[in-house]
Amino acid sequence: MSVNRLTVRYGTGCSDCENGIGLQKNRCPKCGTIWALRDAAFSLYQGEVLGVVGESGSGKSTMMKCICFDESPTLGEYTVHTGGGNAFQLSRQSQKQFRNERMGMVYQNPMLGLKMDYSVTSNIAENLIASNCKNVSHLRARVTELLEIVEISPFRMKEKPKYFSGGMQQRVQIAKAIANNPQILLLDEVTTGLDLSVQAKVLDVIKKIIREFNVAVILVSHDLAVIKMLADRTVVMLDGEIIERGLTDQVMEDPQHPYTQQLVHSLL
Amino acid sequence: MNTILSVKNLNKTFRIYEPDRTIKTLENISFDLAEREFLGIVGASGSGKSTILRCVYQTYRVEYGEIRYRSVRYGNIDLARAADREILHIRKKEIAYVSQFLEVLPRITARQSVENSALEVGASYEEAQASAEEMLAYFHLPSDLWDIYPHMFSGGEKLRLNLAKSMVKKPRLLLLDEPTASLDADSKKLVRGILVKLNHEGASMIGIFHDLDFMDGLCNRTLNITVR
Ligand SMILES: Nc1ncnc2c1ncn2[C@@H]1O[C@H](COP(=O)(O)OP(=O)(O)O)[C@@H](O)[C@H]1O
Ligand SMILES: Nc1ncnc2c1ncn2[C@@H]1O[C@H](COP(=O)(O)OP(=O)(O)O)[C@@H](O)[C@H]1O
Ligand SMILES: [Mg+2]
Ligand SMILES: [Mg+2]
Ligand SMILES: [Zn+2]
Repeated sequence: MSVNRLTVRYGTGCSDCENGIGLQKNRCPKCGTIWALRDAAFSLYQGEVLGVVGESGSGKSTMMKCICFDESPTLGEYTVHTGGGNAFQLSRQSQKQFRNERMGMVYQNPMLGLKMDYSVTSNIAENLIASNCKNVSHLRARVTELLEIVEISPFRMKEKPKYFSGGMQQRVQIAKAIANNPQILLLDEVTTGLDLSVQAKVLDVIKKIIREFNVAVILVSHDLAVIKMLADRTVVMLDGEIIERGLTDQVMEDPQHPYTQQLVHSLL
Repeated sequence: MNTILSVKNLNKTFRIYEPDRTIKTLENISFDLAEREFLGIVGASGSGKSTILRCVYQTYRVEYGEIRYRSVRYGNIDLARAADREILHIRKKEIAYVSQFLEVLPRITARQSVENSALEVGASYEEAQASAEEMLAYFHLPSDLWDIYPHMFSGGEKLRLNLAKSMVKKPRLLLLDEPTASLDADSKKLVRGILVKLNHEGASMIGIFHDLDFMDGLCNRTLNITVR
């Protein structure tokens, strides 16, 4: 898939900010418009891991939400390999179907990805049912299999995620996201805010999925160490724009933009 | 003899913003590497030896110049201008880079990391298993270390694991950046042995070695670079 000229603004814009003049970070002081994302373009190839790194507020989540159709951009083209045309212009219904069949999304905040008062099984089965798997024993078998992949005991499938720890909630989200063998997996700050040891477990599960399933992953994180460990290529975001891109080791070892240099040096 | 790599007028300048500095490291470096040739790079510390290898491997972006490589998959390709995807493919299947610094992936056992490496070049799972064991044994890693996470390994053990990981791929072009720097004499012999073997089997190599005795009889030719 690829996106081009992806732009999301909150506000009406004015003649200044529409031409990129006078912005303070991502905000236009003249008209108050926030440019959450501005002219972003990138491609994602089969089986690769693309890292997206940038400080809080740089537009990472906005970009993910556009890609999984949670949010409609102000402007932009979205090409997916099935059929031509701009996927942003598909009907809501087709977008929903596309997302369910080919994409999985894991949110930083598990409340956005899970229904906390429903069992783990019904959370995970939701995506399966939406794609027409209605046979109960099939469903149960698949949920069991998915829980094993994310290293949660299938004995806990009847429990509600609200009683789970943060790391386990993220793993339930991951199980749900990969239920339909997606081609694209979007991971938005999945390990942020977790204790280090819990992070390691979640990262392990992600690593296993990358290794064993031929899925393309967009991995969003403000943590360069996570990106360095997992991403083949990396884009760096600042104030709603992609300011640098390259092979992950290139971005880390030979950063070109002053902001990237600052980011990399803070890791050392 | 066929040329596998041809570097023309390679230039590299680092621009650092904080504090503001410009470091001109390479200026018009040119050399050819024939197939099966073993080229040693010598020069004082800081002269840019590592930078040359890192430009070839594309860890560093090339400022100006060409790095023509004869790829199995892509034919004659300028690495300095190749797409990221092409570089990733070439790194997986054709060119390996070994340095004295090992980045061990956390929570992957020594055995798995060598197996993964073999799988990347297209070995079957059974082949990968067998060749991983062969390599780990070759580099004298005790078998009770094979199934544990390498972050606890000693420096020398990590380095030998690193070498096993690269060598199991039998790369066509091997870039060696002081891989023996922290090894004892016995381990150095092992490294030398496998380099000779891979070289005989057809691999082309460029190496930087702090130890000139090590290079003696190994390299066919040396490239001298001077500090700018
Ligand atoms: N509904 C909204 N209204 C106004 N501004 C918003 C809205 N949603 C997000 N933003 C702003 O968009 C910018 C990008 O946010 P986000 O994509 O969440 O950043 P990140 O994920 O990189 O932290 C931020 O400045 C944020 O405050
Ligand atoms: N990533 C980098 N960022 C900035 N400067 C660098 C970087 N890598 C190398 N240099 C500079 O390039 C010069 C040559 O370094 P290097 O290639 O490592 O030399 P050698 O391997 O011959 O000792 C040094 O002055 C070093 O400061
Ligand atoms: Mg976010
Ligand atoms: Mg060096
Ligand atoms: Zn404005």
